[in-house]
Amino acid sequence: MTTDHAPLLSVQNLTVASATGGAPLIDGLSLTVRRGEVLALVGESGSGKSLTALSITRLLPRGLRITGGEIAFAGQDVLTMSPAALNRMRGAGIGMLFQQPQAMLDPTARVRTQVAEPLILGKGMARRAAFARVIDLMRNVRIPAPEARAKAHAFELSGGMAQRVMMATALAAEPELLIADEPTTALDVTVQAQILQLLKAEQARRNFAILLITHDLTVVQAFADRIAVMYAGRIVEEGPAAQIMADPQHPYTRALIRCSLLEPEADGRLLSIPGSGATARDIACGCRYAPRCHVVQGDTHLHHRCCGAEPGLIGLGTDHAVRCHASQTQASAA
Amino acid sequence: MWKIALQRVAMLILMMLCVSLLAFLVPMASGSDPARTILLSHGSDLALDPAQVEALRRELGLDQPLPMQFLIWLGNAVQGDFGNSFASRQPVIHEIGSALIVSATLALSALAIAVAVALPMGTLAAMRPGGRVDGGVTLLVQTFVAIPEYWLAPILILIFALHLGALPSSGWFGPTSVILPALALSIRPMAYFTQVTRAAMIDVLNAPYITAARARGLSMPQTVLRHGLRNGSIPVVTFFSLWFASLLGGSVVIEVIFAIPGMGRLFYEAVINKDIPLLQGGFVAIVALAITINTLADILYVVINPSLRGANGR
Repeated sequence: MTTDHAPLLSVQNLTVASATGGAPLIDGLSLTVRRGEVLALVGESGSGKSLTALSITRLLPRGLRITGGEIAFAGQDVLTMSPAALNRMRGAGIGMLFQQPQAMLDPTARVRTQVAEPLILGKGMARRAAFARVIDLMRNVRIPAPEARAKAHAFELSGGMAQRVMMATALAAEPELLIADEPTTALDVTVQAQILQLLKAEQARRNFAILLITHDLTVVQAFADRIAVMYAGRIVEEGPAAQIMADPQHPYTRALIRCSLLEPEADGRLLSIPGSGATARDIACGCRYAPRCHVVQGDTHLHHRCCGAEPGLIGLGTDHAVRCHASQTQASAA
Repeated sequence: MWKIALQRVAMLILMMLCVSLLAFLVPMASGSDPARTILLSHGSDLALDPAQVEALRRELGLDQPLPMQFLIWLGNAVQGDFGNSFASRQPVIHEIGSALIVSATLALSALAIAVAVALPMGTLAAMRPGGRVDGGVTLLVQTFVAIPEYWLAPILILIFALHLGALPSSGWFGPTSVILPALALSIRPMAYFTQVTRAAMIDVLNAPYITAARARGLSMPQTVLRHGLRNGSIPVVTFFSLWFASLLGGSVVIEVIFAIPGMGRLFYEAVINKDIPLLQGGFVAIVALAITINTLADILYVVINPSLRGANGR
């Protein structure tokens, strides 16, 4: 792994809110992706993962806007970029994969038209050369009979095949960063594994960085170099993947890991986190996870603290940080 | 696939049969005796010779029972013979043919103008719904819908023909004489097409594949041109085909104001003259064309969006 010290992508104190006002949907989120590494951004639906991805490429839907913070990609300030520079960054600098691959393909256009766009429009390649390159790109992502599939339409592809096409498109202009937003969630389990293996293989071959957005920690385990766990618009724990999986510090991370590994409790039941996933909007006070946190329940002293003030993100050693009063108390006591 | 096509053709034939029965009967219901009408239109003599009337009735087959008359008429019609016009004594098929070409030219020109204005206007409005452009477009659309053709046409004549002298004020001779009537006729479909385009494009521009196209580096105009318009144009095709079919029947107001020999005027005069064969033939021709246009539009949907293949064959 090459670890250049200037990060490829740096997000600092990002705040995203509705244009009509109200509490922010993402509140002071910071993360960095280094060149060539895989960072997994993990959290429940509604925690703001996808909005983070769309903020980085400045593709937030109408009605949402970035109200604060900084985003820098390859040393350039994304928030002050000209529209033309943004278009160059999308495609050539950052490729994107999405959750519903079939819906991401224009139903009226042929596959090759779309895969070739970053080449023709982004790199100024001639049409014929671009179409020839498309076949190579499709072969790279293991699409069988790429010549025939290149002329197909989205409705003629399975979900897995559509995601491979999206991958060929996203990687066409050789981006330095791939943002993959739940790329396998909508696919069959067997196909999920194939897509992830393919992603890993391509990443190893071309050495681009990946920001993998997922709710599924089993996906992350074999895949990510680092993990950032997101809850209600904030990062609550961040660190090397192996360390977090082996020794999670935040009660939410612990619960997530046990939920996704389907590890039964002592009484044989499967664990579930009580309550429902909070968005950044339903914050009452203090720690955002406190109302659902099992550590807080039954500890009056802690209860007072956690509901009183939000903990800061405190480093626990190299690269590992957590936003929790309880684990910070333990750490300082140790 | 073939089964659906065959079913479809059978439906069309059945439909045309019903239409021709109506086309045959409705003009007959005027109650006037065609033989008397013809003789009256040929001479000014009010006292008709009963023997002459009877002879003509026999010649026209009007002495036969009605079902027989229909079968004879249908048999001829299938071979393209709708009889002769009572008024001009020319074959109906020729009269209709030349009027149809005029009306079709006028209709297509008007609709081409309408689409050429409506697509960009509707798309611009859809790019920022509720924005300033959208507000302006909505106001314009409402104005256009409210403008009557019989008001707009004289205004256009006043400005372009009388004042500027740039275009002919009436008649039908060459491309320049198409412009003013087509412009006057385009204004209402333009308004409807704009609304339809706007609504469709708002939907399309919110679709995931638009975000995906932006994410691979396409600018907004590139995205709209390459992935927006084609998807947004399907409802426009529907409206286009409906308007085209209805305008083929001619626009009496425009054709009268601009003295254009189209279907509208032909029908109008046929009704005044109680010209039964012309009314019958014209009716059949218009309906047959409307059905054809509709079928072509159905095919066009699938050409535009191949995933609709199969979805359309009821």
